[in-house]
Amino acid sequence: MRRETARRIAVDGGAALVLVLALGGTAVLSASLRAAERASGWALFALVVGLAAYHLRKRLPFLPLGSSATWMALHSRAGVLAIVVFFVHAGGRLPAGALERVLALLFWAVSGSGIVGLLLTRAIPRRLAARGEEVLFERIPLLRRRLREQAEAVVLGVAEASHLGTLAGFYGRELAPFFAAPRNFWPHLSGSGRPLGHLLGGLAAIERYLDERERGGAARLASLIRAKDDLDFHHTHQAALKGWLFVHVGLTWSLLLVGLLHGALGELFSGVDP
Amino acid sequence: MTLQDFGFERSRYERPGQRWVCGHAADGRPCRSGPDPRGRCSAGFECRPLRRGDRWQCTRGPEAGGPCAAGPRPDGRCGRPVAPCQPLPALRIRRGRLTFWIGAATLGLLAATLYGPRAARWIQPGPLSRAHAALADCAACHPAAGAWLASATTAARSPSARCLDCHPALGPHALAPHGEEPAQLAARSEIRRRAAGATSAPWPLRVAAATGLAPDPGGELACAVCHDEHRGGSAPAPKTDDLRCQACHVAPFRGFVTDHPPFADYPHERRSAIAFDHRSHLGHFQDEPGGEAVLRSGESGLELDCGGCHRESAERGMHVGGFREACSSCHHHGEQIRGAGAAAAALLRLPALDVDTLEGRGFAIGGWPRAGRGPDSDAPAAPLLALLLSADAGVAADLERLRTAEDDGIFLFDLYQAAPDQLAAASRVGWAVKQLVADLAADPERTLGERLSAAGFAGRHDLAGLAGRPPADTARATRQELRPALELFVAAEFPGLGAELTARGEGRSPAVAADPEDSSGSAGLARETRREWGEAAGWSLDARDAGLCYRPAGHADPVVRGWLDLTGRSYSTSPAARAVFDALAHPARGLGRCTKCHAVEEDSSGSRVVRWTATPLAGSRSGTIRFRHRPHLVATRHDCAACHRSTGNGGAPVAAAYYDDMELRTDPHVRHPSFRAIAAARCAACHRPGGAPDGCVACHRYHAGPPRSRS
Repeated sequence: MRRETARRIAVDGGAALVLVLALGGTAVLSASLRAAERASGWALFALVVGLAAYHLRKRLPFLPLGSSATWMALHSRAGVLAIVVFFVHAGGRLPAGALERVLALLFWAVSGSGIVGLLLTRAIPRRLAARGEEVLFERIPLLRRRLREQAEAVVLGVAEASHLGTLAGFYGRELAPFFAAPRNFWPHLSGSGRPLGHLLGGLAAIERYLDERERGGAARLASLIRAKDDLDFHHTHQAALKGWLFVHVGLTWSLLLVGLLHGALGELFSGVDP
Repeated sequence: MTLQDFGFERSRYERPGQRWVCGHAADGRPCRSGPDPRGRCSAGFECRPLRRGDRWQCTRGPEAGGPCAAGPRPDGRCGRPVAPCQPLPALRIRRGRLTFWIGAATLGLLAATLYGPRAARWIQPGPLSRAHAALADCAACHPAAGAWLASATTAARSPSARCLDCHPALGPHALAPHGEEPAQLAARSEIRRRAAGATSAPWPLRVAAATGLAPDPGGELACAVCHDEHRGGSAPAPKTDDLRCQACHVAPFRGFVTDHPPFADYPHERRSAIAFDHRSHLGHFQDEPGGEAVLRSGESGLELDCGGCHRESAERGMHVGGFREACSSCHHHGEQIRGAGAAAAALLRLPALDVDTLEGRGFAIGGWPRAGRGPDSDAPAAPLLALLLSADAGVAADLERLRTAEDDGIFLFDLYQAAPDQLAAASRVGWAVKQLVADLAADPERTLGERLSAAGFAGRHDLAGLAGRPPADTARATRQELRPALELFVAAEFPGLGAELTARGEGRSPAVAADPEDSSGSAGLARETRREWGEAAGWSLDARDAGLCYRPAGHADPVVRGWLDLTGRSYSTSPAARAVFDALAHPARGLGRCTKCHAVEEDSSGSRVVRWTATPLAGSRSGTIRFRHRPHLVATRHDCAACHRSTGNGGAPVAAAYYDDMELRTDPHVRHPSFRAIAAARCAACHRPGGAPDGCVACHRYHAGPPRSRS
């Protein structure tokens, strides 16, 4: 705990120091009639390269480059720092050039996805721990298949015993699609319980038409529906945890390439000597 | 309900880090072996049977359901084959592929952008300002354009030189601070630096000084340091603020009220172009309750008030009315300009020549006007005539020789004691005058052009204006032209001039011309016409019949203005030009008395310039002050006297700054304004924190130069 606190203080203090140096340096360069935009631009590019290096660090776990937790802490602080430097560099205005607009859009997409990802990594684990079983993302299809097989077994067993098709009809109509695949991504992400209530409500609505055996089967089905809904909840949140990286990592390289071109063009056409 | 039942024999081991997953995994039925590391399906059978004695036993693991009921086949093969699948890339591989393709697409798009036909449109950082919108080619400003990749290794990157190609008005030191000559700027900077003393500069500047980042005061500044192009708008907006000004201006400046130095003599650092005394003209000063005399605009009941001459317009700022608009209602042409300057009116008066002595000593001179014969007359040649004569180097030398002889009592009008060579020189001068008169009468403008070029007046001249020919589109001649006046003069005073010049050209002695007084016909007619023309403007015979005089047609007469401009430019290099300028520019005797109102200034080369127009008005010597009247008029409710307070009826007259005892004063910094200097405290009443802007750039512009129109 003490070590964690010391690391946090070091990381936050370092980030604050770099921020002060960046803002102060820009003010000094601007007051000195020097090309402050050039300095802030290359500082921003260096920051983005440093941020992208975190991805490489994860691919080289065998090298003694510090713990991933430290890198993550540095990554988040450097990301905030990059946003501040971006504001300083762009002067707080929307770029007017096509290439600059693309670059700004990429920066905001990468920054935005990073912020979203940071929030997701903080919020989702708590939500996952609060509901259902803890499952591996890769294991979810297997568990989903088991639940489907159990549900089908319940329905077939009841139908054979009672020779009535009410429960089987409901299963074929409402529950078979539900058990076949992950469902209700957005409702789960937003915390809505309406889809589950709809299914359980439908099951309760047909209960008056069921005999004693079928009611036992319906109760078993309700339990399986809740389990499948919990599984979908985990699938949704774990997919979100993994999915935001597709945007964040995917666009980072575009950002670096367009940023490099922007810097090269600036060097060639700025009209201000270094 | 429990979904998972973990255990060595109850659940399989998941490997999320593997690059490939079984194609059946999405259906919840992944095979036990899974794909190989290269993504190929390795499915075969659910188990590999084991032979125990003479029987084959199923080895399927308990997590897959345990040994199957049917067991292996008799030949030892598993009886439950696994359906082959198409392995799928793991999530991490898919993310890597997406990243790769996005990067590749970005590279492709960038390459297509840079080398496509519309590359310039894509890579330019924004639209050009309207001032530069016509520059369609990037290479017009950027040396790097065109071969931008190759030029990355060259040093010619700064486009400031290209800027100056189109903005030469910024001067030869455009890239120096304020565009001023470095030595001059350094001297003034040193004064300011000493005045500032030990001060506490803002922290960014102190850091810059400590780290060696402070700009070199003697260095150059690229245009792009301050001007941001490709931001649209009307012109590249300058990035200026108080802090950037203090990069060089070391005195700390937190605001106008606290740190601006007191005004020296604002706005009267220079006298105005027109010698206009507001006190004597307006005469509607009233005493304030405090005893201060102020100018009351529009309250006097007189027709003249500030708005009578000064008019504020959005396009041109504070417009100062011209002569026709502001002055002509009282200062009529005929009374005050047309007849003014009688002493200089005889622009082409012939010199008095001792004809009798010349004839008696064997130097035939032919006919010569009676009024121009010495020693009865002692009039010298008119300066303009002397200027035109000096175009011939031989004649100029003769004139100089005769001028030197004046110390010995020998003059053109009295050659009684002259030596033979002096008589020969006088004779040559006399014939040169007659040749000039004949040439001018034949073709005035061509003669003027040839003579001015020969006299060293370079450049193209408005010969028609100098000769006084009215513009071609003038429906009715407003003044008498030079040529008919000369023809009349020749007919009256040189009736045999053509024959005399021909005879002299052939080496014959010219016949003695008839006395003009005895002539009749054309000469008699000439005398009649001369009397009529004497009242009109333009060229006419002078009263003594010894040449031509000129009467200005009115304000802005092209003859007077043209000769003043022409000779003023050569004032320091040509004595003849200086004589003409002095004669024409005399405040009392000058033709039209132009300099009674129009200031004459002498520049560093010694040339003299008559300030014909009222704008630009006085500005700062360094040319960095800008002032717009419009917002101030609104703030003061159009009460000009809120800022411009009269000096009262005491003090030196305004005209004393322009001429003293009828001698021109050419230093524009000598001034006796009608109004008191404006104190900084008056500006500080509004320009303060929370009020009107109080930063440097509210009132100062970076590029020093001639004062712009003060709106």
